Amino acid sequence: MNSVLEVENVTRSFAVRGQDGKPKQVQALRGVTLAVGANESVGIAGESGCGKSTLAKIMLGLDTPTSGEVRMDGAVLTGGSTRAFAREVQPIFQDPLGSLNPRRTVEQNVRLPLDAMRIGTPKERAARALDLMSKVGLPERYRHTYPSQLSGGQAQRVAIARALTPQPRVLVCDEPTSALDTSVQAQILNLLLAMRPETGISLVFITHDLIVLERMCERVVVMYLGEVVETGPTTEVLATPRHPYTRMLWRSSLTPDPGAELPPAELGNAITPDPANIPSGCAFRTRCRHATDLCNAEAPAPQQFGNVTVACHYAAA
Amino acid sequence: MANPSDRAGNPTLSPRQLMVMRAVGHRGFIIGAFVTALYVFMAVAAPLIAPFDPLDQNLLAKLAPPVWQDGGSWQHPLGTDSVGRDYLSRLIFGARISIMIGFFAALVSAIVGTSIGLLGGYFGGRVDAVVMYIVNVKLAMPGLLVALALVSAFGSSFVTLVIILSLLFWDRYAIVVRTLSQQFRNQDFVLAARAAGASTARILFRELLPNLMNAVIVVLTLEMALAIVIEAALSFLGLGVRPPNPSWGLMISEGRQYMFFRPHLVIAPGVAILGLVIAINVLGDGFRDIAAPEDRR
Repeated sequence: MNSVLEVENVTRSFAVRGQDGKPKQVQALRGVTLAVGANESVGIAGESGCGKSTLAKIMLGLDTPTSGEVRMDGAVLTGGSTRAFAREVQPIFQDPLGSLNPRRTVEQNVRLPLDAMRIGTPKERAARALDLMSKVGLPERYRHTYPSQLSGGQAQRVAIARALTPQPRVLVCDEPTSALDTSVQAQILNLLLAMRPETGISLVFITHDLIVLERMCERVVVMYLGEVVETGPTTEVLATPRHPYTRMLWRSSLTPDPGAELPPAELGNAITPDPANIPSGCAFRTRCRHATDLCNAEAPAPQQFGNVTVACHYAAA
Repeated sequence: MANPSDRAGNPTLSPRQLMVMRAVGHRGFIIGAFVTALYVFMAVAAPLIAPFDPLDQNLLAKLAPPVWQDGGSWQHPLGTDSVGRDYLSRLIFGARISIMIGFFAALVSAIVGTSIGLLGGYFGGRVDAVVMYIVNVKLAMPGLLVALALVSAFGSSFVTLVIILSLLFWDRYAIVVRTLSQQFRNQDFVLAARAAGASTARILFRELLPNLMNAVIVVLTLEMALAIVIEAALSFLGLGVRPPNPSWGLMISEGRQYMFFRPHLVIAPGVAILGLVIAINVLGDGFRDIAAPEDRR
């Protein structure tokens, strides 16, 4: 498959001050490579602090990687203007109301990318905004209302319409449904799915909701402490997770299964390592029950298992 | 998240409509607005409502008593001053000077302080360090003394007075706006604007600033009240508005020597200042109450 958006060996570290006041380096991303194909939907999963939000910011051009680059159709975007990113990659945020300017009307919010990048005449911008509002299921009478007058689901529709106005190639959705009522989540996911055939858009989902991964994403990328530990087609990775971290992640998620007990709290018990002080060898070894001397000594190289790539010494098992 | 508009299928009231409703129900705001409006009307319509020219001297009728004292007449309800100018007319025209100087000083300082605070709050880091340094220098200066020195050095035309008073007041805007922009700069809608390709100027002035305007207006009212008091003080000390212009502070100063047998020469302008300052303060407090930020959920 030909890739649209490519992330090549991206690292990102932040200089912070620890609680003892000493400066230290937090490594949020440690060499992440991934590609998003045309009209493909990719899910990025992992615990909080694994770097998925930093990765999203870098894909949107809101943050600059310490090293590595982001390419669009082979052309390097990193180091260029934010505007180059803005034409191709647009965000959907977790908190829909927080992602809309409370002081601007729905139409002004939807038009923002067109106004900011001066695409088309003001008349064309208004027409495009109205067109997209109707496509995401917002009646025209909402045009002059303010975000505070909308429900969460409606606000997320506005955010989706806004993201689509500049006709981007990729949408980066950071937990797009986790702040919404359960009854609205499906509507928003269906709306995103319905946009795909018409626009040919690629989707990147940052989520830890397995349902979202399963329904929305053809491919899944599992991240741990700033690295990709397992990636492959969603069905395969969900059915037979090869990395112990993926297994833990899947097992610890709650499913609406009547009579089922709470999942074992394996991930909760183990202490997440300090991202400023990442363990030697395999980063996951401190929490892995299969860890051996080899894991202490050597970082595992990614191995190929059919369509699935896993970074674990014992992945074959 | 539950919102009645989902069921009704129609939008609820807009933030502006809600604000008007809150304003109507807020007694302090209504009273403050009413009294301030009276003063503004007095200032604007001064030539129409004042019975005499405030500068016209009539030495034959100097120090005429007010209407409630022996010998007072309705021709000069508040009597006349030491050179025979109609005191009521001077009081009415005095509203012009107080309001103009107060408003423009507050406005100029608002523009300066808001810009500085916005830059420091949004950019953070070194820009913010410079901004905070300037603010700290300002806070360490004995403001009124510096103002007195500047007025005596540069004279006291309307423009220099406004500029010097603005130099006294910009710091509060800077601090308030800086704190608010720090809160706003990492909100998703600012990130969304950046991701939409918006320029920094656009983010600062079109995205952030409208969200800060309510706070700026509240500070503006308080600073305007303060500016009016300081203008009166400067004029009282002879460093503000020049005679024969009718400034309330100047009128108190001129009436001082007669205050034991014509106390109203001091009391009337004093009450005028007090009323205006209280009204503006009450108005500002009321505005703070009713201007609930639209993102308050």
